Amino acid sequence: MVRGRAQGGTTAPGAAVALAAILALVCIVAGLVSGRPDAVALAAPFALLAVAARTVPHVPGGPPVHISADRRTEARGPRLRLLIAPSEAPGTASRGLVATILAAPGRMPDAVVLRSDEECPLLVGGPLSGEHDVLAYGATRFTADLTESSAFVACPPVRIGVLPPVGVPLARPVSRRLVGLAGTHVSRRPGEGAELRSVAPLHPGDALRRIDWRATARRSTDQDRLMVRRSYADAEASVLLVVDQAQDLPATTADWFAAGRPRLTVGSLHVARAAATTVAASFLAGGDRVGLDDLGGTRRALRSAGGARHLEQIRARLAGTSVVPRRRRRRDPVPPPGAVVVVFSAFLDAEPARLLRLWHAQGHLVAGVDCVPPLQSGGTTTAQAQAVRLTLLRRRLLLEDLRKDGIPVFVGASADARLKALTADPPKATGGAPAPAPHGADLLAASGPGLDAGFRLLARRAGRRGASVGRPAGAAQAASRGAAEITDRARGGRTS
Amino acid sequence: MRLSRPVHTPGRGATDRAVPDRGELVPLAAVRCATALVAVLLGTVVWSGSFWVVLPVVVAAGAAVLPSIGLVTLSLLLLAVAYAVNVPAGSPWLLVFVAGLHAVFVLYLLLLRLPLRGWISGAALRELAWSFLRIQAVAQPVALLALLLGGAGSSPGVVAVGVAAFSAWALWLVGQHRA
Repeated sequence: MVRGRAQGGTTAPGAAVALAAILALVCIVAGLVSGRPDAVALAAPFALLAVAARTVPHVPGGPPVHISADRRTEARGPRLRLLIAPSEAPGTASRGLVATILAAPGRMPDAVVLRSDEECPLLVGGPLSGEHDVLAYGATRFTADLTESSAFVACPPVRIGVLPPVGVPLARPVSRRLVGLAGTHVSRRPGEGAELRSVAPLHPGDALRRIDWRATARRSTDQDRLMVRRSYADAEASVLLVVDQAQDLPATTADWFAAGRPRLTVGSLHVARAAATTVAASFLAGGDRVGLDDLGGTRRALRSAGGARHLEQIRARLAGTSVVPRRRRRRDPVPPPGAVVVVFSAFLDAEPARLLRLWHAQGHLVAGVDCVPPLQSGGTTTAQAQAVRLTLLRRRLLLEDLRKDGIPVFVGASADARLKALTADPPKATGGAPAPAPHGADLLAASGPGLDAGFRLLARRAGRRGASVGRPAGAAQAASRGAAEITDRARGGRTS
Repeated sequence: MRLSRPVHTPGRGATDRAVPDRGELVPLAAVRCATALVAVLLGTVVWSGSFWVVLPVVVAAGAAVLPSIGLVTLSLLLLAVAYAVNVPAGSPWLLVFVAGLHAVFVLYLLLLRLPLRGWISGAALRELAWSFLRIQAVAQPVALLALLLGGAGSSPGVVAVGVAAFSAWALWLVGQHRA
């Protein structure tokens, strides 16, 4: 998508003409002083260039080229394919040269000089997911003899949105308090479904097709009453995905401290996008309903819905996520009753953990997904390495506290198989202090089960918990008391 | 625009610079080398046998790698003035110098506006060469004529009138251009 307007467009003063005139003057003076016509002849090309510049029409302003996605050919390999094309229609372009200056994020600029009617495909590095400026560029136009040029015109950067990938399907843990009316999960409510609840005498309102003739023959010896099979209602699960977009922690620790334009590196937001897409796709494929919210509170939550089209909406919404500082919310997000709540965060602060505890205490089935990508150390100063260690240590303590409270946290990086290449091919340090000491290496490694194993474990645990249907009333009251305490504590912390 | 991407391997490759994906492109490094080579060869001809040959060589290399208007002017002046001082009148090197100085001037002008790294297409180089040949088609006969008139000698009147006329023409030219 194109943003903003090109800048520049006026014709630059003729420094080249002035230089040619000076050189011609020097040659002529030197030749005349020394009485040598051959020295005067050296001035001929420069004088001709200066005269030619007078006869050449002025170079038009405006951006001479534009760069867009090349839709004529498929992208080959990991890079995006763009196309430099002249702005003017074919055949109407004025003759001359066009120099296009290209600057990929975090890279030194490169130039491509083309004839004004030429096209040139480009390969640029793209993000793994999300919307990013992949290329900044500008262009200037020259006459063929280079004596005239237009001013450099900075064009709007090329912005690309890449949908997050869908990983392998996961197990689908569900709460036992299902409230949906159609789906593939067995609820605890009586109704239409495949799971047998009881065999009981026929009552008014029972469907005749539910009469169990074998049970009737077995149990009603006098043939005076009919037995019907009653079942649990099938229901869909409701899932709320909450993405923390307050930080985008790069995979290379040196990039945590980098100034200037950020490079297109793998970050925690990509992991969050990939993991959330995988979880959403898994539940939606099973006919469940999935909603999407963010911790920042800057956008309206995506309503809970089902279907393949909703998956595309979720992917598009996730692709549009970028780092947004959290706003103070008037109230915390409220998950649907009986929902599975999954929070995708780098867990650098206590807010995601607080919400997980709150929803856990409210009786929701909750899980956290640790979105820090596989980290690579190196290229940092000693002080920076210490800061990294402290940050990771605090994060580790937060995650351990969550696990102690019975809230599982899974490693989200396992959702995108391509991230394994990062750990297999760590970059060399570009300078500064060496990598942190080996005793800090354990902090760099993610701890906990992967997304696949974690959801399988959670599904098994939820199934076991569901086997003992109906919590005691005292436990429910204790849970609601805990939720109130967490909310009060959070409000007190925010106001203090 | 929103694209659904094919699966690929991320990492440093994904953050590389933008590169053209077509043939018939010449790296700017080659153009810089060619520019420096032509300037050094011309400098070697006019400064041969002298220790001072180091000066135009260093300036030419510097102007080709990190071109600035000052270095470019210095490099061209070193060549032009040295020709007038060191090369004897009537030397056939004149034809080479008329072409060489012009080529160096054009290449410097090209490199002045470009960053260190890049590419230039073959078609753009042909366009440059065609423009170069059009100028040379006039400059080479003038150089040949000058060689034929080599022994004319100098006259103070001719010098004064010539310099005044050319200075006036140059000033008018630059003034017209700015207007």
